Amino acid sequence: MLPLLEDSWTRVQESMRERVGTATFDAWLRGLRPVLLERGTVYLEAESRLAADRVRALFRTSIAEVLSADFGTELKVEIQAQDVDRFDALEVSPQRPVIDDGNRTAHLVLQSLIPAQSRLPYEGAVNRAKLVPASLYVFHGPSGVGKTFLLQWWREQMPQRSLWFDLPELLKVFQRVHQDKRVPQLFEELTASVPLVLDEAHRIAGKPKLQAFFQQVVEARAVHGAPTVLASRWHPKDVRDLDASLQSAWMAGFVAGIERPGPLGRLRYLRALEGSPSRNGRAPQIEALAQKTLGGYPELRAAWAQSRGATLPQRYLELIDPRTVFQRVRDQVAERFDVSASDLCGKSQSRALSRARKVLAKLCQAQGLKGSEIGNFLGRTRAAVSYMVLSLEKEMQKAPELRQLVEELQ
Amino acid sequence: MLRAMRSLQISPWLLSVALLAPSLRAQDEAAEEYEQLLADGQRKLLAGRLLEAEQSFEELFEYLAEDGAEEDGRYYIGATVGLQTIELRRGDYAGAQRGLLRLPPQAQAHPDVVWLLAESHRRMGGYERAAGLLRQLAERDPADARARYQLAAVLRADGARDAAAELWREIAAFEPDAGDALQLAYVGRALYELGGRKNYERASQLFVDSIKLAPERPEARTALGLLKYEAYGEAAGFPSGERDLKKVLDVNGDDEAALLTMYRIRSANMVLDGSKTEAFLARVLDRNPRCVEALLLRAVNVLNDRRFEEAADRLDAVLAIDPNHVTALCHRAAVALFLHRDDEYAELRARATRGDAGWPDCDRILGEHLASLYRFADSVPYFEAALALAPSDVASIHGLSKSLIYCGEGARARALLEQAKEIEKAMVDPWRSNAIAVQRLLEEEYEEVESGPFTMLLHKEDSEVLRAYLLPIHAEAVEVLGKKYGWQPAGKTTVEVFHTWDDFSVRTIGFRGFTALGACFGRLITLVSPVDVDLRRQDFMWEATAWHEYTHVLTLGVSNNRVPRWLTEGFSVYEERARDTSWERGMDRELFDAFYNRDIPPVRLMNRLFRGPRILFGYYQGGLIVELVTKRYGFDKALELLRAFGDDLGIEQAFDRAVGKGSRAFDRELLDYIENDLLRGVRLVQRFDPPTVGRLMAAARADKGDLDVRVDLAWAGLQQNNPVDAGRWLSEVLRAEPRHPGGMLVRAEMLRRREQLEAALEHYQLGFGAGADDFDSRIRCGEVLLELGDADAAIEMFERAKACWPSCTEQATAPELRIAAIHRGRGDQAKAQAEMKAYVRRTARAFAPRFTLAEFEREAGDRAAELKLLRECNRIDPFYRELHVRMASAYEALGRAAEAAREYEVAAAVRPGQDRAYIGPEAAAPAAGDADEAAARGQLWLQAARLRHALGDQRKRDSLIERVLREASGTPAADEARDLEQKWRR
Repeated sequence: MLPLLEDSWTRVQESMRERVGTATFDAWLRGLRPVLLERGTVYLEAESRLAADRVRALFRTSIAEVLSADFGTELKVEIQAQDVDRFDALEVSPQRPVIDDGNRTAHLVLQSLIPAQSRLPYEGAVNRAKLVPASLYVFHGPSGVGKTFLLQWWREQMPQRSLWFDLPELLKVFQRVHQDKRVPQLFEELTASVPLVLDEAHRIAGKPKLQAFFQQVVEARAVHGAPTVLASRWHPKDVRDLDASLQSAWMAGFVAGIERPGPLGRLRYLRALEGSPSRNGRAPQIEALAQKTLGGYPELRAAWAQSRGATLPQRYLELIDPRTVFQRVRDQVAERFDVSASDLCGKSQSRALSRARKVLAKLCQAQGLKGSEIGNFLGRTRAAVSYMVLSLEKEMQKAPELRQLVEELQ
Repeated sequence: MLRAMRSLQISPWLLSVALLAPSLRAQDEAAEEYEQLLADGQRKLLAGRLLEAEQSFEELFEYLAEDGAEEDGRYYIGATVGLQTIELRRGDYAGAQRGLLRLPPQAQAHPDVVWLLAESHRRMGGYERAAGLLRQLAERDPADARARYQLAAVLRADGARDAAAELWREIAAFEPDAGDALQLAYVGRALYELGGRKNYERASQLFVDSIKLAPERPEARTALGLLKYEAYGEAAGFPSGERDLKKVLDVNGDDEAALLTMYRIRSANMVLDGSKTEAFLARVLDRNPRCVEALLLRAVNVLNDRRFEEAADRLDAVLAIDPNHVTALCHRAAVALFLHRDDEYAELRARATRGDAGWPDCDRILGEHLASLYRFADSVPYFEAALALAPSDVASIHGLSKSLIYCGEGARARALLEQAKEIEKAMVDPWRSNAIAVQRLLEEEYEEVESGPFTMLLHKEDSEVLRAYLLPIHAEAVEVLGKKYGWQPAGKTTVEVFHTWDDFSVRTIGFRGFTALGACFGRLITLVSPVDVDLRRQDFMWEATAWHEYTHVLTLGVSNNRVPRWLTEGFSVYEERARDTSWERGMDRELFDAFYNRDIPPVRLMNRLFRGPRILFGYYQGGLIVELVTKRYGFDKALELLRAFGDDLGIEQAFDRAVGKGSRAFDRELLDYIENDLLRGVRLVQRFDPPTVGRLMAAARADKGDLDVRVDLAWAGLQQNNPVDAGRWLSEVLRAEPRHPGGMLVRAEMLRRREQLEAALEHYQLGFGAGADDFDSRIRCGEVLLELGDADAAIEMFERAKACWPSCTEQATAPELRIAAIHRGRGDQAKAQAEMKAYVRRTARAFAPRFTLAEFEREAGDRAAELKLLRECNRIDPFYRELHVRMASAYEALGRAAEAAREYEVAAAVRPGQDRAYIGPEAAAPAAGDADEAAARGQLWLQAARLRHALGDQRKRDSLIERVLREASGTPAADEARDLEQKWRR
């Protein structure tokens, strides 16, 4: 769908300009970029949060009308800002939860529980800042939607120690203390005035003793108001064999669902996985992957790994070697365009060479080389490389055969 | 200057007021100026502009002195700290300390002064003093993450690792102030020191936050670069720390920590330009010639180059600066160990591990040095000792695994590496990942063949062909070379023959891209299988490689693994030629160039050749050295040289013991040998390298009448494709002597390039007629004559070329091959064969000419000559069914039935996908299950079965028949096999 959307977006540029005026168009709409089209919603990306807010507030309807007219069917429009921050951070995996419509409520609620200062978080200011008047929070959603990750992130933001159990672990502890007749100590520990997180809470199903014990814990914790956060695969009323009073206690808290990531959530997650190449060289692949991969984060990760696998050596890792990558691509382009490798890196500005050089720059970028590196090898500045790539992209929009050639080389 | 300008602008009445009663306003103005100068100096210091910063601080000092400012005032302290920071960065640690201690006691308590004092103590090994000072800072401000972090670093350097770790944990538990860039950076650094995926991720986040807050500061960015290196190991497709460090160097100038980290990262990536990597270290030492870390890195490089005495001097210099540097002490202990100075070793080791007996690095460092000197088996106990102290020390696990791989214990290495992977979850280490992958491959796709003193690992698809030839050649090497060297390995030698060049390269160096054909580590030999397609395009002689690598087993054994790289390679190259003179390397031209470009390194620096692009010349020169020692002094003296290195003698003593002269005298002898024995009579135009061109230019400037120099410069111009300069030099020659013989040949070449063939020919003839002569001109003149249709004259010219370079083995220029082509074109096969025979006698690296000659011999009925040529072809490529069929036929004709049967069996074992007949793009190999293919193989097995039957070898005969019935069922061969089976049973 993305090429179709891109074509349509190119077509409607003039109508948009006429509608909003050239100055407004240049200031706010020219920088928009279509990234997804899913279930009748077009997702556009703005260069900054300011631009996104502005376009959302003033031009969303106009854009939707123009695009709907071009597509011949009614479309909605969503605007998002590029998330530029933290892009340089080490990403062994994404470090912050991806927030979208599927988990926004849970995120907002959890964020409201993070005190600004480390002392006495559950009185005064924090209690006033809480979004909901509760101390028990139940977040439910299917496997792979990032419940645990969200709670881990929240725990890391909390200035003080918190207790964390997953249900099977709590069960083991409970059984042991029960055997040792030390249940009161465990009760005391769990009811301390610190946040308590219970992951995989739905696994409490069919464990009446533990349920009874936990019921007491919940009641005791309600006294001091420190947050008790549960993550469950099911809504409390759907958890089987759950004691009615415990169910009622859970339901009395704040219950919110967490859903699978939507298109923008998927895109953000994939970009975080991929790092900078998702913004330049591999942008189309990442956007296509976000479009077509449905499911939770594990599925997204698997699809991403598979997409990378195709371009990586199958068995062995290689060391970073920009020169070898450049030379390989250079030879490939030289052969395809029937020019010599030395001419390709030379000074001649003949049309054939110039185009081959642009293709070389774009392909190198797709291979993850930086503009400055490509510039060094080509004997040109980074700005010149950037211009080459932009210019080629424009040419590709007008010339399908050129686009096909570049795709073949990729 | 600023102050002077300001004075000029002050009006006289204001001045008088100021003189009479210095107002508050004047004081404010002065303070403002101090502030400006101080900030200016600090900004420049942060940007690494030391000279400018120094000027600013000195200017500030002058004003403060003029104004009689208090010495414990803020600006005085600021200027002192700035200036002494610069002194410290330049390596004058004691000077910086003295400068700081001149401050009044109150000023000495200022945090910046305390910090700098601590740093000066740390750099000179005064860890206790440094720790005391840093502790003061930490106690004064518990939130000072920088002081605590540095305190931990000092404690660790002083052997108090547990206390350091405890401090880092404390810092990691800090709740960093989101607005304090320095604190964020140091909390991040503490997390980095603690290690582990979660800590790394959090550290990374803090670094990024810190960089955002203070992009001009180097601490966070440098640490982030290092963190990326630790997390991703410079693996392609993952982020590199180099980018962050480049940014630091752009923003902060030659920051010492960034330069050292850059060097470390780049050193780990061997595919990067080594000279650029080295430049980063040079930049550190340029700024600070007393930087302990940089001096230590240099010394370690020298040590790994086997220059033990020089390494000892360099390490002593390091220890003179910081006598308590534990890592330097470990390296120095290694030198003492290698030099058999046992007492010194024990003393240094004790100093290194003082107060921290559980520190694994000392043993690990010793192990790593032993491994870098190819003493892998010796290194194992050291790594094991390190792991006994710290079982989770990943560096020691990696070191041990590497040594185990090179000792032929790949399976144990894999288990260890899997363990390291588990410890470093989610961290990418490309070497480890590749080592595991290749070992897994060996376990899954290779089969083990035991043969005498060898354990061979052969790919299942290559095994049947390779075992027919590889096992005998290795057995022969054991016998022939073992006798010659008087040494046999005690245990088994593992030979791993890799199906692809990539697999071989990864097993050998950990990565793809290693272009050698084989490698030997003492107990382990790795080889590329001759089935590799890229290899087959190069006519590589697998048999020569096997011979070469086994020679390493002996030279390493005789020298107790202490032989320098150039010498072990030299012996191996020498043994290739000693076995067969046609196993040459085609390096005559390189030798000629190197000699006349004065680029033959002396023996003592030969190891350098093995770290750069001239590695192949290093092999060749090593071979020449062994050849010369053997010729002039006898082979026993060459062995004595090996033994001398085995006794840990230095290069001078070793040469003295073996040949009775030092290495410099031997260098002169080698040059004399090259000039008078090897290159005598060779007439080539050398390929001029840039230093030679520089020398020639100087000579031309010095002597305007030196025409030969100008001719050389004209050739150099042509070699660089620069006819303009060539023409300029040539015109000078021809103006002075219009028929200069050398000038005529240059002119001829220029005309030939312009395709003015008649004119070129005329000039060639003028040049040759006047006495000029060189191989390439003769060949090119022959080509011109051919173009002009005068084949007889061309033959004559090629004959003359032979005289210019009688030992030429270049297939592209060899005169014999050119003359043979002319004779073949004329249908004169006898003359063509004679020329080709002359050529193949000189070089074994020619498959096609041999195969063609073998056909001529068969047609002429000389089956023995045919067989000889075919066997030589088999030394290059045994994966050619047609070759084996022909060899079988020749063996049969010569009555050698057993060998004929073997060849039929091997012919059947060559799979279509491997067959040389199908490696070109124009021929498609039949599918593996193809019926015709099955029938063809069946026939070959039947042929072999008949021969085995005739030889009375029933067991082999029956197994062949069974194979026909199983693998060629439904083909005529199967019917025939059944008939034969019945017949033979009767």
